[in-house]
Amino acid sequence: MYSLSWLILLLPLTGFLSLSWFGKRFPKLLGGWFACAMVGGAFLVTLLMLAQLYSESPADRLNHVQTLYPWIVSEGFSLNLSILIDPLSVFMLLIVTGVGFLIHVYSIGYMHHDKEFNRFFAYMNLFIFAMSVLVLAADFFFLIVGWALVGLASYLLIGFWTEKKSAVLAARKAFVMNVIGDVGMLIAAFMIFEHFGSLNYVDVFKAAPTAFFPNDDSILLITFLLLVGAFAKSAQIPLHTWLPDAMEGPTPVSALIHAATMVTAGVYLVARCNALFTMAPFTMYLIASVGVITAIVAGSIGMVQYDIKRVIAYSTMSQIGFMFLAVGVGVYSVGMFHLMTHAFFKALLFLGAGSVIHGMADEQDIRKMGGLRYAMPITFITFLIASLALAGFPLTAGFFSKEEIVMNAYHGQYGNFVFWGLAVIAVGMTGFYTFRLFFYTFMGKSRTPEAKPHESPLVMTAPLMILAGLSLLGGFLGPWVHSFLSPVFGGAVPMHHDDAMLEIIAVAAAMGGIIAAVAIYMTGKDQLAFAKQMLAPIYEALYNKYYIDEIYDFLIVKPVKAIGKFMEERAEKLGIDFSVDEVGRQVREVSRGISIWQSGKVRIYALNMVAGMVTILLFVIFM
Amino acid sequence: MIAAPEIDLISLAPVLVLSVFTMLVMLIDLFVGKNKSVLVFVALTGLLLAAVSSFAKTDWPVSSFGGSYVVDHMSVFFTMIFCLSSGLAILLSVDYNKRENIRVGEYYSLIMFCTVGMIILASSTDLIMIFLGIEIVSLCLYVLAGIRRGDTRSNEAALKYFLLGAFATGFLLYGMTLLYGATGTTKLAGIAEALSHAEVLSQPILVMGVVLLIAGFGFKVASVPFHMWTPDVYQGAPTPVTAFMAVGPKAAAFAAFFRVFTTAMPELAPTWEVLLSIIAVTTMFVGNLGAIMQTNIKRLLAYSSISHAGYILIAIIAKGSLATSALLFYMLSYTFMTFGAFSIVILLGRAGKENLELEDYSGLGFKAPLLGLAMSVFLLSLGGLPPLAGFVAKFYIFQAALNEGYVILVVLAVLNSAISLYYYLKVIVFMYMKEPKGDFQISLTPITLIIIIIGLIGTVQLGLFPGPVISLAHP
Repeated sequence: MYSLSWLILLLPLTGFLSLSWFGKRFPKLLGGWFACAMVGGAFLVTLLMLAQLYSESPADRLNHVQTLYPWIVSEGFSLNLSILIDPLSVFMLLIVTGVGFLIHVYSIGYMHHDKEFNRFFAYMNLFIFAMSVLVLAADFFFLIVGWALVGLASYLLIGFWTEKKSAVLAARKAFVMNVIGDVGMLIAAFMIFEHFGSLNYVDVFKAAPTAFFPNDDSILLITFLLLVGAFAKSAQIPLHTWLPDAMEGPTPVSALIHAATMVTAGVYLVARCNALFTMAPFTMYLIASVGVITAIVAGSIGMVQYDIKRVIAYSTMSQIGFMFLAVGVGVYSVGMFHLMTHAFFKALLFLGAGSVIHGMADEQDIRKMGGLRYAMPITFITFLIASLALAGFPLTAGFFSKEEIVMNAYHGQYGNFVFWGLAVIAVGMTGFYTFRLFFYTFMGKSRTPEAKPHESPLVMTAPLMILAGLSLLGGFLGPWVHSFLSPVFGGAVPMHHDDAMLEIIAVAAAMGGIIAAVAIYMTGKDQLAFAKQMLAPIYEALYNKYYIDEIYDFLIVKPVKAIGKFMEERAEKLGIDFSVDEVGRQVREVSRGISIWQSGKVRIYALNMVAGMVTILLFVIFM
Repeated sequence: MIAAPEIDLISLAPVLVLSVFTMLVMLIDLFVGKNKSVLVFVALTGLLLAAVSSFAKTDWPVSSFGGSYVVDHMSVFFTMIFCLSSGLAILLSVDYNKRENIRVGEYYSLIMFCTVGMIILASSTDLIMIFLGIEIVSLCLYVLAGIRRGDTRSNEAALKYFLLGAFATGFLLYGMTLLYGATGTTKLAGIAEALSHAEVLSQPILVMGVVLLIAGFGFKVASVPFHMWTPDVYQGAPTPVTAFMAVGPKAAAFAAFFRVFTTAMPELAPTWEVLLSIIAVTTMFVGNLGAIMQTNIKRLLAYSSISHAGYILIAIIAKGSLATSALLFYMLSYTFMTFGAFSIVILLGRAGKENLELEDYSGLGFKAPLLGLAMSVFLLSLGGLPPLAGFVAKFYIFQAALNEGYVILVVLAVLNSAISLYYYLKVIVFMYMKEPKGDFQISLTPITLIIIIIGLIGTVQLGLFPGPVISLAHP
């Protein structure tokens, strides 16, 4: 049964190859549905794997390595083309192919007018394939292959509209950032091979607990390098700058790559390598700190953005910060749980935003929207559900996963009061920016009366409704997620902490954020004037919040830019550029020298042979 | 009294089959008119039968003719490579010869005679036989390089190759003589046996002999500082002959090089290991750095072939069974990717205008996407990118060297691989990122298409599924 798992890779690959080679000959819609079928097929096979895993006892569900054939075999080193089926990879694949399938279906409607419809679906299938390689890899080599392929696919998709200059630049930025991560991963893989003599997960993770002392230099370095890869892929500070720019791609791309799957790869990596990270408590603190800081910073930026997709993009960064906080404090399955619920509601938010943009004739500025609840009822209701889930409204999906994270930020293995406090603030911000966005977009009166918004077709709204259902009810899957994944994390199930006080504060923070947004953006006609009159202190505070962005700019961006400028002028122009140019110039000089030496005269050639031989002889004699 | 050596014609089967067919080609040539295509069929049949008949002996290794000829794992594998490369060269020539008006029947028989020499070279275990093999191969190549009699470049190439080749042969023969003088035998096994005695090993003329042998073989495999003929001859010779020279005869010379040094002179290894390491490193650097500034694709590929000789020399230095299989695997992969690249080079030319400048490749990726893709695959494989054949081939050679502890050598070789990507990618940049200069008039004939497909299948297959071939190559 497990051998069928190769189909998970094969189906999207087939889709990519056939659409990219014969795409022009496919009738338009057929190509789209074909791509959907490939991903849907992969999802069904994943379900089959899930069923198969369930037929075994939890302890036996690990390490089902499926080897297709040995790729490289030589003395001391071998690489098999093999994939790993275990609860973690199947769980991750369910999200990748499941949510991916819905987004594929949605794209048929969204990309309907695009000239390069089939090329788009070819890339989308390539992305699913790349992500599946990343998730299914049974060793670090193929992990890196998948890692790089995902980077390539996102490059192609972000820059899909090649005639749009900003999109091409954004794609390049994303690619460069991702390559930084790839290099980190690559060095980590070399170090792992040096220490363990193998790249297989099974060998490495089995040997890890005895190979190092906790906080050994080498394990710190390995985990740190792995983190560079994880942070670059998951857009965590300071490698986050590509994510907001990546919104230049088509909206389904944002939903697929920058919400549901690709950016979660970093969290998956940490969870997958938990055996290594457990040996490096210091790195765990680092992960949790970076996660919670990203959650706060991205959340605060999200509160002041006016581009509908940018708000959601910052929110993604912030939510992934929560996931890193969870894995960082040592509750891996809570991180994976939030990864799942986030995939549901964030994909829904992006697709809803896409539906709005679609209905508003490509308008993305929320200041020009408003009152869309009448024109787009289905989008309105599903977007509301997604917003509630994101804000952590009680009993929605986001509520359960986020509540567990906040709780563990204090009670978890590496949790402490600071993590908890910052997490609560970030929860409050989440509620605020979510509903600010929501009210701007759907409530009040239309601010551009000439626009004729219309509801999207069923092929787009159907995925919205399914995702809305999942966003509402997905939270109840929590206990299942924990017990299903526990074998991967050494049998640990995160404890439930009954701490009513903390729980009430967290819920209050979320509600506070929502209420603040309601107070400012829902009341009265002239919202800004009303806010200034009645809620002056809060407004001031929020206005200052905006300043925080500026301060952030002043404290970090400006100095970094200044340092960057200094580095550019001094270090780079005089040092790096010069040396690089110089190396290039010298290489060309040498090359030219070789060409000149190559005079074409036979006697010179013969002389050269004799001279060479005499040199060798002299060398041997005097050696 | 000299005892007559036992005669074992079965061992010689591929040589005999091929010789008979070669003569048949020459005879038939007398009776056909201007259309030489029937010769192609006869030649290909001969090569195929020769490849099949190399399995006439199955209980390898079989030594015969008083220990001067052997059928073993390596010789059979090399025979396969030779028959493949000669077959591809002949197929490659069909359209080219028509276009360039090369209407001589000797062309095909020369390639086949050359193949006979190559098989002898790879199967000989006696210095005299090796010398004979080298001479058969070289004489055929001198003529082949100059087969376009009306073309001055072709004449120049042939003459240069001949003069320098004769010079190098002198070195080689002198080296063999000294080796014979020191050990009293020309048999490789005998030399190894003699060298195990300390009083033989300490003779100074041995060192001289080794150096001269390195010079002689170094010329044949185009390693620095005996490489200078390569760019000129590769550029001047007809393109199919260039492709052939870069693969078949080079592989044969490497086979003999490997056999002589690893089986006859393991006792002298401390000396020649150092020498060959230095030569390998300089060869890689000169080849790769030289290629960077080239604007002519044939010269570029000539320098690239010099650098590849550097990588392959590492296999000789590493010795051992892994090195043997790495060498065999490398030569096979090299056959596929080189012929693939050259077939596209030929395809882009037309009568009177060969289009050999890199400029002529501008925009190929858009005008003929599949050809551009194929060329990219071949070049990237030559550069050693996974998951193509070139990567796996390099990987095995480097692994063999690492196992023997040659870390610095491998580091330098990897560095060189990185340098080499620069000029391989340069061609790809021309194909995909520059505006087309003029119209491409590509007439893709079925024969060329077959070669490209064989090249692609080989390059991708050996990259993705190297296992079966590696186990075949493993002694």
